[in-house]
Amino acid sequence: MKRYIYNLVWLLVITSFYQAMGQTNTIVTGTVSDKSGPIPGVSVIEKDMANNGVSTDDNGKFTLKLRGSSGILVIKMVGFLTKEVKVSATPLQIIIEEDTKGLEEIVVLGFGQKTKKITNTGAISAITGAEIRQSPSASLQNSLAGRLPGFFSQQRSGQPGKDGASFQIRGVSTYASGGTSPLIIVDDIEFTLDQVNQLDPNEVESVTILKDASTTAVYGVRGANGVLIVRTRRGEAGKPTLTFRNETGLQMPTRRPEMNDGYNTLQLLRERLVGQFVDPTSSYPQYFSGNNLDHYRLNDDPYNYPNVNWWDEVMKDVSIQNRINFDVSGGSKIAKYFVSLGYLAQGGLFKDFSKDQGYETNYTYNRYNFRSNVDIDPTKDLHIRLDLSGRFGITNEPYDKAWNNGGTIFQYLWNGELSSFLYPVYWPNGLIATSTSTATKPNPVANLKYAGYTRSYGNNLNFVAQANQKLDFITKGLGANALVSFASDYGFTRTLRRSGSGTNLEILAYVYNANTKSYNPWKTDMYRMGTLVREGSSGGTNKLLNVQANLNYNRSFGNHNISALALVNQTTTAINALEPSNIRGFTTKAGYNYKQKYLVDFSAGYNGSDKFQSSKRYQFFPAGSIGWNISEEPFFKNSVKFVDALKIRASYGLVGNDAIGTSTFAYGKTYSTGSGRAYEFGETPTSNAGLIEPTLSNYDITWEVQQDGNVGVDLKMLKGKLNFVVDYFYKKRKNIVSAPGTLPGSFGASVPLYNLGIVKNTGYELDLTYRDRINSDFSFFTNANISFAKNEVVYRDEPATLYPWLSSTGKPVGAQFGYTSDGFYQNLADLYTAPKLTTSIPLGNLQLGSIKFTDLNGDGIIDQNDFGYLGTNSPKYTTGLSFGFSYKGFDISTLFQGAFDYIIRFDRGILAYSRPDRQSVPYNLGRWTPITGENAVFPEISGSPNNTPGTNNVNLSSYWFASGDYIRWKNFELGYRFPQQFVKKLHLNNLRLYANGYNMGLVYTALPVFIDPESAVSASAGEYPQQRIINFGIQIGL
Amino acid sequence: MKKYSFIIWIVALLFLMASCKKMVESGPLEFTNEDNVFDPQDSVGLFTEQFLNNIYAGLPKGFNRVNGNILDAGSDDALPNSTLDNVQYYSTGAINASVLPDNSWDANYAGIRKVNIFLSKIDRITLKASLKGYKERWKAEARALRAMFYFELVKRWGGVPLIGDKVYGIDDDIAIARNTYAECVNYINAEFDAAIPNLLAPNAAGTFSSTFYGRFSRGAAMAVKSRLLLYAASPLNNATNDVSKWQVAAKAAKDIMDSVDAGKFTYALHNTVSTTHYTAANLTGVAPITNSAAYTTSVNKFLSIFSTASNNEIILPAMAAANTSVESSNDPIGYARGGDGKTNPTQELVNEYEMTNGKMISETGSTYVSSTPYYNRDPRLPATVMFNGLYWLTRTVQTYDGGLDRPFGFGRVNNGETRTGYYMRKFMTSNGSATAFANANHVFPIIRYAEILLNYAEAQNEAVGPDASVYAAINAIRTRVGMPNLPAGLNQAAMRTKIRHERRVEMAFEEQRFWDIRRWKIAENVLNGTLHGIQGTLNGTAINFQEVEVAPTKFDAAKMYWYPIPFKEMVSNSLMRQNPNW
Repeated sequence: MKRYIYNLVWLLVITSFYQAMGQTNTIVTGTVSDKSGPIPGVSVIEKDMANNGVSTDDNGKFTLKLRGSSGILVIKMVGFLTKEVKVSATPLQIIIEEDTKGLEEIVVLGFGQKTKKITNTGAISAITGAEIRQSPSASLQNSLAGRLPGFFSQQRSGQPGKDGASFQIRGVSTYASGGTSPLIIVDDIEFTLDQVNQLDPNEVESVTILKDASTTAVYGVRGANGVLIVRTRRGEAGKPTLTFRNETGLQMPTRRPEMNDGYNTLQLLRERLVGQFVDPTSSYPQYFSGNNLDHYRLNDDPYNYPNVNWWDEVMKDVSIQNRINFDVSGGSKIAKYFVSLGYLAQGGLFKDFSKDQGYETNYTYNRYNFRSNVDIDPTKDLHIRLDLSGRFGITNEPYDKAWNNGGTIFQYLWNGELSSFLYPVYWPNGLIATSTSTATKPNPVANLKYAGYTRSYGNNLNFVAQANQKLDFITKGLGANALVSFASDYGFTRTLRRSGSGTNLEILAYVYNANTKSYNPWKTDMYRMGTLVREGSSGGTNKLLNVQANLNYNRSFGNHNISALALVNQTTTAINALEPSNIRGFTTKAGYNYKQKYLVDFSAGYNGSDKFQSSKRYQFFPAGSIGWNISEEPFFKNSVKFVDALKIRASYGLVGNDAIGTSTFAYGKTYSTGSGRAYEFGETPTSNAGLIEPTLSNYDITWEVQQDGNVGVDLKMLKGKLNFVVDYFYKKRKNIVSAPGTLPGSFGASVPLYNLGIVKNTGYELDLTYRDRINSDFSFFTNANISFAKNEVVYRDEPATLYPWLSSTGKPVGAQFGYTSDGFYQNLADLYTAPKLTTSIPLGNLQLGSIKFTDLNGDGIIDQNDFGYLGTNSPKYTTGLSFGFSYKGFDISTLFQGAFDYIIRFDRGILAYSRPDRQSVPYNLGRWTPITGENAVFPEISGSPNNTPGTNNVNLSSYWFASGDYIRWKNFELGYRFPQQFVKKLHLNNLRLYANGYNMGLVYTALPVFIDPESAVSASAGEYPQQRIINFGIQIGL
Repeated sequence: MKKYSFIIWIVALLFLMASCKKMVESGPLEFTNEDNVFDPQDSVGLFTEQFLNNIYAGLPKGFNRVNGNILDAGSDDALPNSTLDNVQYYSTGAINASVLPDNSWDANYAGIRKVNIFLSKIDRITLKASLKGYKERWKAEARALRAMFYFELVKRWGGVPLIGDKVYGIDDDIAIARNTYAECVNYINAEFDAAIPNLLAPNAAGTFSSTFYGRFSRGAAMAVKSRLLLYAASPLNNATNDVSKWQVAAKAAKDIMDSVDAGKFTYALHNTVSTTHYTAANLTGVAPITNSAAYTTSVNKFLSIFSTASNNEIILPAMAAANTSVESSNDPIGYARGGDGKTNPTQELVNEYEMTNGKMISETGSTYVSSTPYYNRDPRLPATVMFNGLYWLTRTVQTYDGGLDRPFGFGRVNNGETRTGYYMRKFMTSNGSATAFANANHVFPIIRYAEILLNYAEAQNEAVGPDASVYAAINAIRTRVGMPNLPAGLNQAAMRTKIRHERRVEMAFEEQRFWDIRRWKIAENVLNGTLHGIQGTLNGTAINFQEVEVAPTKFDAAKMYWYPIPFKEMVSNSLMRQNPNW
């Protein structure tokens, strides 16, 4: 059926070309300019002949053959007021005026609604597809950092296919584990974070974030985290435009681990052993007896005393990313189309060890995507839209975890678990070396060469059909609209690996036996390579169906402008065997303005989610907003000439969040058997099944509700050159789903989740843009924005604490607790007299140079009562600064981005020194010794419990956290558009060469170690390093 | 045309609406609820019995249950091998209302709730005729378990809130005051008395059906009562030394002994070698040269109590599937199996073991030689403590400085090897190979018959004095391991010392000493000072032994005899009152 419709659409498209042929043949020529000179790239279209238009050339000139009978040209250009010109004697001299007040600017709202910027009263930020495409990152959301005020993101990984940043809109307003991710809507289809990650930026027309209640209340129970709306490109009437883009990018890690060499690591090991009263020579004769250490220093015997830099051995300096896009768009009055094909190939960082094995073990990502957006207007009043799009992604990863005993090679490189001095890469006879030591990991070269791969396939197909009927015959301005969208996601994985399992994977590598002077396989008598085994598993099938229908009304009565919308909506998500979950609801919206001066909007969602009990399913989420265009007032217009537009606006409303981290039926409870519940009886103990009462059910559980207020000012001045937007917001999230912390144990059962907590989130956004066109050849822009969001747990049901620093209440969400470090113990008197843990024994397990903890409550001992608040891992500020200019065919732009006021735990890899056969990092060299004393940056290394963050956080202290503040040179783009005369000779429409870059460099970071400030959250994060991409592209318009 | 397209639109909308057929279930139909568990039509009570089985899983487990350590590592008998392990907060005085390692408050009240649900619902079901009496027995077992859970609370905190048969709902206001210690003891006692008639009764031969082993039997209920009443009569809870309390305690123990004598129960001291842990050759240097065969038998007998899943001595076991956890937690660290060596007995405990002639090592005529400190000692020493030179798996244990099981040596490290120079031997089996653990039966003896004899001797000595029955009870325990009888003519105080000594060496690491030093109110003496260990220094092939100070201890007598009420209870129950001075 779908295919049939699709063919029909194509037929319509093709017939529309023929229709456009053969009319009158008047040829019009002319020049379009503004005050400062001719303007290239202006659309000149014949009125009522939407497909008959041209763009002005570099000198603002155009030539158009008229085909219709109106004799009127429509002149359109972004940033200028649209103008209609009657054709008279040619050449025409057309002057167009800048749109200094933004009268023509459109903003996108929820459920496919749009409004003029001048009458908008909500908090919205948007970015165009053209700006997004300045970033060569494969993931859409990575291009948004620093560009959208209110958008907070952190890119944790650079792995091909999995490098998308996680993001929030206006920070976090809940401490519940459920979801803080915004609702993501791509052309009326709800996307998950993973899916939006795979969206080809080439398809994108605009990205808009909805930030306040007046814009998100229409989504009701799902609006509280904000909404991100992506609109894809659509065809415009006119001749078919064919565009071809080819890009080649060079990917390099932003930061890589730096390790000490073997000699320095062994020096530290010796110091540590001596500190523990252990004789290094007898414990590790291989390293310390005789003059062995000298061999490590001199590197004179790389086989017996190796010094391997594993990163250099297994990594390439540069990996390649390739991207090809091909678009066709155009159409007639009846049918318009945009068709796009895309291909992306991202290579991985590892060297090609497996080449001769006939399979690929590197990290790679391949993505094929297509989109066909078609608009049909069979009658003047009916508009039909059919979108079909899909993506097929293939992510390849080495099968390295099994032989590594669970971790990836990246993990072990970051953790310093691969020893540089234990075995070389290859033995002198060319055999691959390895070690059977449990402290270090097997040779990654053997792993990458022989272990095989895991390949996961993701297939995503989306379909949207929409019909829009004008109902002017009932009353003018009335319309009706119906929409069905369907998205299906299917994935599976395939593995090719060696026989054997886990750490016994049958990979051939050799260890050296110094006694027999022979090379033996690491696994006794296994002189063969394991056979290859193919395995596969199917991932989930995910089906999402959305149905919408609405009635809308837009009409002006003189100076009174009215708009209204009533919409019903249902979304069904079906995942494998799970009971499908449904969200159903009604949305209304009404707006009124007087002369576009006094603006009032009301919107509401009434919807529900079947996670909750039937009586708790539906709620009404209203929001209202008002605006005042002061600049339209006569008194202002006449007196303040340099201001073009000034609007103040305010909104307030309720929104909800049903992403509470529980599955369908959050309220149910089920008695269950299982391990740990059984008990043994009998003289031969025999297990008898046990059944347990579950966590009790709370039938009243429901979603979180947020009060959401916003005030903002929009200002345009200096003839539209300076654009300033400021917003202040206040959010109060209530009913946060959490477990009560104060129920007495005498109750005897596990208690369910309740709607208990309250979190307040306040902040502001500033956005300042200055753009100017000096003359027809030169224009420039600069933009600075800053977003600030600060949250605080107002209430959560936790036991009252003895001291204020112990409680989560009053602290930000995600508060990190630990001892406060107060430098290192510098003298014996201090060691014996200063407050310490009850388990600390001076000179026993507490040495000079150990981390000293602050006694917060002053009771003379360090205990849980001194385990205070240290900070959070979420930045409070994010900023962006971009600027650029264009001169003739050249354009240059760049973006700096930063995040501030948060902390990062940085101990990853820097404690490896404490395990023999692992690596140390340069930071360890700053250890405390009696000589370094006050200048030491790292504690003494003989092993005081105070000097490790500890299991269960027993000794976690502020020492292990550093400020995460950073400023990054995020993007740049340099392009050159060839002159028309030259391009014409090549029989092309246009030709552009460009180079752009992503993650160009860290301008500033406060971290004392080598990890990327975005990657690190804890010791376990940050495996595949973030990538810098330098990209070269060519765009050809045919 | 205009109207025509509009009609199509309407039809499409109608079609959409019609297709919204209800395919969604309105609730979680697949969930098991209370009606399924206590289903009146279930004539075998399948789920009901499973619910009861799970209540049993709440019995105290014993082995390495306090964050990987045995509870007695918080007493003067042992230390954990890491200075960070929190069980020793009990001996270092670091516990408080927020930091309470052995906090079983929630777990025991969870058990009590399960019992209350069970009792409130079980009458819904009717069992088939062939299961006659099962329902009554299940109820009685549930009540006995509940009484046990209360006892676990009471020995830690003193009086706790008694909630009766109440099953709280989530909307109930839970403000319950504490009952007094006496009220709790009376309640527990009464509950056991009420349960006993319906509990599992021994057959004519005095035994229980083998498949029922592990269930709460009459004997078990009587045994727990014996301990309960003994604790209630002890100095901590009997400030005026009310002799009648001792009499009641003595009778409770005597009732079991009498039933045994009358052939109603077959409980006895396990007196056979069911597992040969050692050959005489293994014990060279430990067993007396003149009598090594008998000595080896005694050691094996004592170890056999703990290395079998069931025997006549164990009255109430905490059942468990065969596992390796005791060995993996406590194996000396130098063996290739990779044990954690967690429990490190103290020199104080080791010194408590007599010479085989019945004299303490410090007594004149003991024949103790400090250069061979483990030679010719009470056979229970090599069956309880691993010391330098004791055979284990493939070789003798090496805990001298630099030895395989103490590579760093005394005072050098804070974890990873023994801190005192000793490892625990008692519950260990040598199952498996030298390089790998293998599953072994580890049934923790919550109560065994030897304790009944000790309970009786102690209570009788306090109530009446050291009469012949006191001697008989203690001597029975000593005879089993080949130790000589107690000297005749002891006065009450001397006998008290002997009984306490016997209890310490017989019951080491069985969660007795931890509570005994509290109820005897001697913790302030034995846990205010320093715990000791041994340092062995290799001198050629000989080893010089020297007692060394290992860990300072602190015990605040003003408050530490009772646990502090957990902080969360204090803030969440408005009627809760804290124990004194916490």
